[in-house]
Order: sequence, then structure tokens, then C-alpha cells
Amino acid sequence: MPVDSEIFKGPAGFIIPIVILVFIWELVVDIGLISSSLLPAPSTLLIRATQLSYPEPILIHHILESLYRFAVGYILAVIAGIGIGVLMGMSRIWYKMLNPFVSLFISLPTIAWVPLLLVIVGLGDATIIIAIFLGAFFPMVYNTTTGIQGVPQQLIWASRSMGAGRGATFLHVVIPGSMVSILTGMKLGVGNAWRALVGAEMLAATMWGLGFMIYAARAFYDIRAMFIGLVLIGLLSYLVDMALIQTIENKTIRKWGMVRE
Amino acid sequence: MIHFREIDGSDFLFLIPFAVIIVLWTLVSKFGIINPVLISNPFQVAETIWNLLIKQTADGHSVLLTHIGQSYFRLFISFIIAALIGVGFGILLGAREKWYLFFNPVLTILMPIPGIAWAPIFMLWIGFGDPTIITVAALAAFFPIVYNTAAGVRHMEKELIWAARSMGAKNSTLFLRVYIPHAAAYIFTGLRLGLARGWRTVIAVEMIAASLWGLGFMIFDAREYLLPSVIYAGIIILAVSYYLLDSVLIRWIESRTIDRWGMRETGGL
Repeated sequence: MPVDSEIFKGPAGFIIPIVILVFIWELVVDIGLISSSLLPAPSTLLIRATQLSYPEPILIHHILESLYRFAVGYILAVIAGIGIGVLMGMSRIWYKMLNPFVSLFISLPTIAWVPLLLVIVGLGDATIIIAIFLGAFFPMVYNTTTGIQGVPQQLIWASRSMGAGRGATFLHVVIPGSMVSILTGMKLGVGNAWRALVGAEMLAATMWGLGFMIYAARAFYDIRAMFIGLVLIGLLSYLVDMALIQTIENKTIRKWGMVRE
Repeated sequence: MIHFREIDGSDFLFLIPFAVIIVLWTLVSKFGIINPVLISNPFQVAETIWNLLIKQTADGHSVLLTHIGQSYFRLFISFIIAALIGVGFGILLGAREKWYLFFNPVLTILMPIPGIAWAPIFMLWIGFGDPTIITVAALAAFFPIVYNTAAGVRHMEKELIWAARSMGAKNSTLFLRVYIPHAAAYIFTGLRLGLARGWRTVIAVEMIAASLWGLGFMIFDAREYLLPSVIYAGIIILAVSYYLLDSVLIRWIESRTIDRWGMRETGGL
């Protein structure tokens, strides 16, 4: 996302507006402008969150289950997506054969696969993980392909004419040259996979997961648990993006000086 | 993406994997490797699409077209709401530094929350059906529109604004004649992302909150009655209907606006 980092005046500039908004939210509910049965106050959310964490760590269990599913589906998608993307980026024939399918399926909402998976695979982890995989897979393929096709041919010729073999050219020229685009794919993949996770957990989870928690809370009118789930989902996808993508960015394209600031 | 260029024989290479899939699918179904009831087969799916198309609702419309029409209708209403509020608020944030600093953190936190996560809450607030589907989809589409509009306004050359102001432009003139055309490439990126997000959210929320119609409802309902061929048909129709929307409608709007204004460039994400 095009965020201007120079505008953030440190973490305080980020936290303070949120604190103010949360405070206004608390006030609006406490003085009764909005009924607390519709919009629970932040303080009652905290109380509910402790109830859900102690003595039994239910909340942690939901979070861990979601993260586990995310990790499995996402990692498989990154590996498979880069594989197919390299194939399509390097070979014109494969590109022509597969590209129509990728451009058709990339715009398909991932959740549309879930009913099909429910029928064929059934309720539970497998369906959710496959949905996450499908969510992240298509943007991965698309962006890897675009990245590899965008590497200037002159660079490849130069490297080859200076005696680098095919393998060395691929590792040291093609992959670094397409890294910006591959990372874009990984980033879009995180967003897509996360959406797929929440949606699939609502429709296919049996016991645990944040999506399941929100959906199940509706049956008990536990609106506070729903808000807690919502906040956790936002926070976690932000953190996953920070931890995963920023780390890889710093180790690769930033170190190589490939980012236009 | 449709690129209007010359078509050569290699453009039909995709027919090879397509044929392989059809043949494999038919064989798997025919020899019962996976239960044929669950896996269906390509001919049955084609037949299902045709049957859905000619089957009529009580008031004489095609069942399939009613499902598609309902989903499109919900998408358009929510998109228009999101676009009006999103572009307006985005320009305000882009033009006023203090507003931007104040609202940016909360937008950053709320933006990655998937639309469908809001659905159970809105179902408690405003009930099943259209109100929830449209509100949640509008909410989901709103974030990328605000974000990219604000980014577009912030990336404008300040001289343009000073020039317009010093020549006596009012706020409304500034808004219509300076901000919107000059941030157009970013705004379009945002609208396009918003449309995609809105569509995904409409389909997803239809699965858990729709009352009778909509493609998401059609697919999810077919699961209850164990009609996989309807699910396959739905997936194909979903892919095609969004592809049409994006590459025909959006391309047409773009060619009429930012291409003609000579503003094409890569906007935000």
C-alpha cells in the first residue's frame, strides 16, 4: 500500500490517534449514546477477553489454530506459486497454455471454492487449508510470472556472454531481478489467504479458529466476542504482514537497493 | 486483461490443458475414482448451466439471470456508496495533513480485516439479506478507495493547488477540477480494487446472510442439496461474470477518462 513512511512521526504518531478514537468510543457507550448491547465499550471487551483467556486459554487456542492453518496453506501456495510462475515466466509455450486459466481464476472469490470443497473434502482443516492455498496461489503465480517476464533481456544476455551458465543466470540474475514482483505476490497472497481463512473458518470449521469464533458467537448474541475476534483478525493480519513480508523485503530487495523510495 | 493486439495460433494453446482437464474429469467421473455424484462431469455441468438459464422463476425471468442480477445489483449499490464516501473522504484526508495523520492509523488497522468478518456483527445489527450484504460490501470496498484517493492527492504537485488557489478557485472548483482529474489514476486504482473487494464480499456474505437470490447463495444452497454440478456451474459463472465486469466495463470507463486525459500511470497498489 502506498504509505508514506516519512509522515509517521514515530510509533507515538500511530498509537495516539487510535487511543483517542478508542477513548471516544468508550465515552459514547458509557454515557449511553449508543446501547452497549449493540456496541460494547472497549473496557467490557477487555473484561470479556480475560474471561476467554483465563482459566481456560480459549482465545489463544483460536488464534493458534488459525495461524497454523494459515502457515500450512500459505507456505504451500508460495512454493507452488513460485514454481508455476517460474515455468510460465521462462517458457512462452507454458505461458500461453496456462495464462488464460490464471487470469480467470485470479478474479474468482476464493470463498466460491469452499462449498465445493465442503462437498468433496468435508468439514474441517483440509477444506480450510486448501481454501487458503487457493487464495494465495493465484496472485503468487501471476506476480512471479510478470516479474520474470519483466527482467530485461540484455541483463540475461550480458550474464550469459560473460560465461554464466543457465543455472547461475537464473539464480543470480532472473530471481533477484523479479524479486520486487514476487514480493508483491507474497503480499497480495497474505491478504487473500487471510480472507480465505476467515471465510472458510466461518463455513467449514468445526471447533476452533477466529472465523469460527465470530460466527459461533452470533448464535449466543455474544457481540463482545465478535468484536474481540474482529480486532484480533485485523491485528494479526497486520502483524503477519509486518513480520513476514517486511523481513523478507529487508533481507532482499532493500539490501539489494531495488526499492524506489 | 484484454490486450487488443493481433491474435496468432499460439493464443489457442490454452485449449490443450483445457482439453486435458475435460478428459481427465470425464474419466475420473466415469470410472468412479471419486464418487461421481460428488465430482459430477463436464457435460452435466454444461447441461446445468443451460437448465439454470432456461428455468423460470415465478414471475417469468431466468433463474440464473436473476441470481446474477441480484449479485450485480448488490455490488453496484454498495460500490456507489463506497465510491462516493471513499473518494470524498480520501480527498479530504489527502488535502488536509492533520486529518491524514489522525485517521491513517485506524485505517491501516481496519483495512486488512476481511469484509466477511464484519458480517456476523451487521447481521445482529440490521438482520439478514440485502441491508447486511450491501453495508458489509460497501465497508469492504471503502478502504482501498479512501487509501488510494488520499495517496493520489498527496502525490499531486503542490504547485497545481497553489496556482488554482491563487487564481481564486473555490474549494468546490478545486475539488472537481484539480483534485479529481489529477489524482484520477490513483482514484481508479482504488475504485478497481474496491470493486474487486466489493464483489468478493458480496459473494461471501451472500453465502451466510442471503435470503433467496444471488450467486453466492446459489452455490452455497446447492451444497445443502448436494448438487455439485450447480456448484461447478456457479464457480464458472462467477469467474466469467467478474471478468466481464472488470475487463469490459472498467476498461471502457478508463479509456473514456484517464486514457483520454493522458493520465495513465501506475497508481498505488
